[in-house]
This record gives sequence, structure tokens and C-alpha cells, in this order.
Amino acid sequence: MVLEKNNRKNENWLSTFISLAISAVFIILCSIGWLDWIKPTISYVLDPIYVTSSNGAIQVSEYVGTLANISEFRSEYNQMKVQLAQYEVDIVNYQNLKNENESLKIQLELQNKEYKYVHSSVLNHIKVDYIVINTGLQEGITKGDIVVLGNTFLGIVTECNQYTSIVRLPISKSSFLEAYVISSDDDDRRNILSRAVVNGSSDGIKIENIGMNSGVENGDIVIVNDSKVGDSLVLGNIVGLSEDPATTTRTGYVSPAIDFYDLLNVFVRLKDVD
Amino acid sequence: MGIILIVALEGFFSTLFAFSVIIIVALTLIEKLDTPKWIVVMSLSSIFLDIVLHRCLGITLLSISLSLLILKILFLVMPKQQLILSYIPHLFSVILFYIVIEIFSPLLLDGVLGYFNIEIFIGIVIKSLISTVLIFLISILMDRIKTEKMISI
Repeated sequence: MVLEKNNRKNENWLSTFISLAISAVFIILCSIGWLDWIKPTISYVLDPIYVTSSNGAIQVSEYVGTLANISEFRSEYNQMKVQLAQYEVDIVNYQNLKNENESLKIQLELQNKEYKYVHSSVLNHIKVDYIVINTGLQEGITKGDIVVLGNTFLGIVTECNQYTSIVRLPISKSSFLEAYVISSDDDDRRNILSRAVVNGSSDGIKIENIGMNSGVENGDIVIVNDSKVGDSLVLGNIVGLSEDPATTTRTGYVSPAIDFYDLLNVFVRLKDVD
Repeated sequence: MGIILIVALEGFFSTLFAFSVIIIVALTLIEKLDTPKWIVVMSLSSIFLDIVLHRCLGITLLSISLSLLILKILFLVMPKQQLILSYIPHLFSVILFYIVIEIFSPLLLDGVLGYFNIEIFIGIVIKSLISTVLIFLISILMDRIKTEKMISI
């Protein structure tokens, strides 16, 4: 047993010296360049193995790195979310400004200089026939003021609070307005084709009492000319005109010049300029 | 097949932790294999690794041999026991392996000594500590397998 142990010890020493000698031989041969022929052959076989395992290690390292930095990624993600929300707010503000700018352009080009207008933003819709705007008594708005956009009639102020007002749209069943119809044809636009009455209904804005032989056609322009409005303002175009020869008058519907549900900015025309 | 596995493991661990597997294999197998077998396995593995890692042929074997020499010398003054503290010679031996590779590999290739500073040394010590713990664990594992085999016989 002791002898075997001693032999083992001696073998260990022997292996150390033999390996030292072999390494010295290899180093000398490599320095001389006698072993250069062996490198390409071994590389051809072993390089793919080494590179594959090395790539595997890189993937593991990246995966572990991602896991280690997950809290950092999370905080970065939260920051980006906040930033994104800020950008969305900025975009909405920009859109509002753009819409306001376009509305102001229209109003400046088309407004009647005799009146004073108050710029308002639409806050909400009440059902389909009323809108709430962000101006009220404080801005000098009173009940009965007309709401317009350019030369287009939008409604009449029916209620006024300190900071907000409610506007009745022509589509409201409570809205009755006198109007006249002019031709959509540019050459014939100066002539009033027929007088009519416009009132709101659940189907849309109805136009009634159009003379049977007035020559009114679908697409003709409806102008509001009512004592409540006090001025001629465009309402929209006639659509769905009735064709019943047994009646003396014709009825139809008015397609509004501006979509009431897309409104963002409007102008309230004040009755009393002073 | 075993040599190819050593090359693959070396590639994996050297990329992941800059950690050498061959010194662990060498120090583990020195007690388990016969001298001729150990010499053949280590010579081939180290030469293959030198080729793959673009080192001067023989430098890995030289590092292993010097480590082994230091280990043998240290074991002359320290008793061998199945304790983690009795693996301190292994730690010094592995440290020497990394230092020799770090300094002499560039010397043999380009004629310039490798760059060495305290940070590199601390890195080497950490790697050597891990290697020593692994050698200790592998040794315990192999002894246990050997014991179980003997009992079953």
C-alpha cells in the first residue's frame, strides 16, 4: 500500500517534468515555425466547435444581462410611457390650436364687421341637438345670441351661465326658422327660388313649405333669414326633396354645411355690441 | 471526444467568465489518471486550445506544468486532507497558471511581456478561487461515486 503510494507520488513528479519537457519542445518548434502546418488542419476542425460554444456563451451572457437590468428597463419603460403621454397631450394641444387657427381664418375672412364675435370652444354635446360652449355671461353672451362659423349658421344660445352656454342646433325639434332657398348654380345664385320653414326633427333638419313650381332642386342652398337670426346665414344644402304632385308644397331635408359633431371652435355673435 | 468537450467548454466559459476549464481538468485528472494517459490528454487538449485561441503552441501546457510543479512543491510542506483549506496549494497553483498565461503568452507571440496590473491580479484571484472550489467539489463528487461503486461491487 505504502509502495503504491510512493509510486504514485513519483509518477506525479514524472508527469510534471515530462509535460514541462513537451511544452518546451512545442514552444521551440513553434518559434522555429516547424509546427505551422498543423495549425490550419486543427483550426478547420475545432474552430467551429469553439465558435459555436463561444456564441452560446454570448447569448447566455446577453440573456443574463437583460435579466439583471430588468429594473432599469422597467424604469426606462415607465419614463417612456410618461413621455409618450406628454407627447399625446402636446399633439392634442397642437390639433386644438390648428383647428382654432383654421376657424379664425374662416371667421376673419367672412365675418360681418358690424358684429362682435366671441371665440368659444365646444365642451360637450347634449344628446344630438344641443352643444355646450366654454363662454358665458362673463364674456358678454346672452340668451338669443347667434352661434356661427364664418357665414354658416350653427345655432342659437338658449341658456347662459357664468362660464358656459348651451346652444340649440337647427336639428333640435324646438328649432323653427324661416329660410329661403337659392340655386346652387353660380349663374342663378342671386335669385331666391322659394321661401321655406326649417325645423328640426329626429330624422334631421326638415325644410317645408317649398313652392311646388319654385324650381328648387336637391343640392340648392338653404339660407336662414329669420328675425331671431337677424342676418342671412348659410345652413346647408337641400337633400331628399319630395316629388309628390298631389301636394302644393314640397318638403325635404337640409344637409348642414358643417358637421355639428365635429365642431371644436365656434363664434358667438353678440347682440349688443356696446 | 473528451478533448473536443474540453475545447467546447473552454470556449463557453472563457467567453462567459474569462475562465479556464483546462486547469481544472488538469488538476482533477492528475490524481485520477495514469501518467502516460494524463500526459497525452493534457498535451493534445492544450495544443488544440493554443491553436484555437491563437497562442504560441505549448504555452498552455507550460502553464499547466508550472502550476503542477508549484502544487507538488506546496504539498511537500502542507498535508493533504479532505478539507477545503488543504486546497490552498491548488489556489496558488491556479493563480500561477493564469499569471503565466497572461504574461508569457504575448511574450512568445510578439516578444513583449503581457500587461499586468492589480485589477488583472484581483480578477485572476477571483477566477482561481472559483476554480479551486470547483476542483474541491469535483473531487468530493468523484470520491463519492467511487465509494458507491465499490459498495455495489
